[in-house]
Amino acid sequence: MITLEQKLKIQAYLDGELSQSEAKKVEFLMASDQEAKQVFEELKCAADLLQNNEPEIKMPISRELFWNRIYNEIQKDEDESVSVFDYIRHLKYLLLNTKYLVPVAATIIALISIFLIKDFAKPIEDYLVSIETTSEEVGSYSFRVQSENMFVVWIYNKDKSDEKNIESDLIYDDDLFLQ
Amino acid sequence: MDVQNKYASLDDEALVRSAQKGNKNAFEELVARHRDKVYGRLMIMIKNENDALDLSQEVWIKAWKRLKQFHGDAAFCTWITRIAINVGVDHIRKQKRKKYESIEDHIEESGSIERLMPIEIVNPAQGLEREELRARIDKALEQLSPEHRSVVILHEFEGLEYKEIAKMLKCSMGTIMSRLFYARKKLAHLLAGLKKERLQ
Repeated sequence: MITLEQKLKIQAYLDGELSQSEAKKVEFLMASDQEAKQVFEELKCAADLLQNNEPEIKMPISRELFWNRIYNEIQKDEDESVSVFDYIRHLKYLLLNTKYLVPVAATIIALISIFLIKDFAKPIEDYLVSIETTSEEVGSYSFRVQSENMFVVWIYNKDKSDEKNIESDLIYDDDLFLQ
Repeated sequence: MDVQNKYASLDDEALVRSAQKGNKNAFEELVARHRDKVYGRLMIMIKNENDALDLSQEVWIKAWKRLKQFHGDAAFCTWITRIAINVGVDHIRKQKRKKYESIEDHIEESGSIERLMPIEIVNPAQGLEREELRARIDKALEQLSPEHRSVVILHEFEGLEYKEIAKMLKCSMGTIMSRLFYARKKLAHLLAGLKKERLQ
């Protein structure tokens, strides 16, 4: 009885997948062993049968219906694929086309101007900040005035301010140091 | 001359060139010409009409997107069929059920039962009409697992070599040889059975 490995070799021989020396060995086997020859015949018949009788299957829906399904999907994909690159491409076209050059340039300048004006038109912030210190006796406040390009720091005696309520009356003349 | 007739007179090469430039009418003609082939391949592979129809659509949409990659090295029909087979193989992989990964799969993969079957030499010329024979082959193919059917399709219908099939299905050449042997053996047995039924 021939082995599975030998059967697979016979099949490979049938399919033209063996080297010349291996093919010779299989030919010798088939010449000397009836079962090997029968395996070859069986595989060959099955292969011939399949190769010459491929089933022909027709699509069950009409040409128009099938194409509509494909067309709709393609169209949907194309609509979705409008990307940043398309915008860049359009912009490039607008810039390279002299007819559009002046209005496009004017629009860009206007947009940049709006951006810059918006940035400079921000309200100037003057603010008072209390600064924490580790000292139990001395406290401090800072005050920044953007328009005057000024930065002021008050250092005061905590004991004195506690007595006088610092919330309402922040600074005493004798505590004030300008830095 | 209406649009369909205009494109019907062009060969595949001309239609591909036109479609590559974005002409959807040319692409429609290519679809009309080769849709049965694509559908047939998928239908033989997966044996489900609705899935085969949906996957056919997927194949053509992929083809449209990749059309610029087609340089005419092979015939358009071969190119589109390869896409169909890849889509079919992916589908089979996704659909592979757990039961196939366990004992049943092992039995089928090794083909242990079929290998023990007696040798059946089927004579295709004996008595059957061509259409009837094709229908019987189709029925016999249906009884193979999707993995074994894929190997048969790629080898017998597409004429691919073991190495190419192994690459496409991402498995070893030994597995391909084993699957093909098992599939042929089972088909020979099934077809011989059908012939005997007919003779009785």
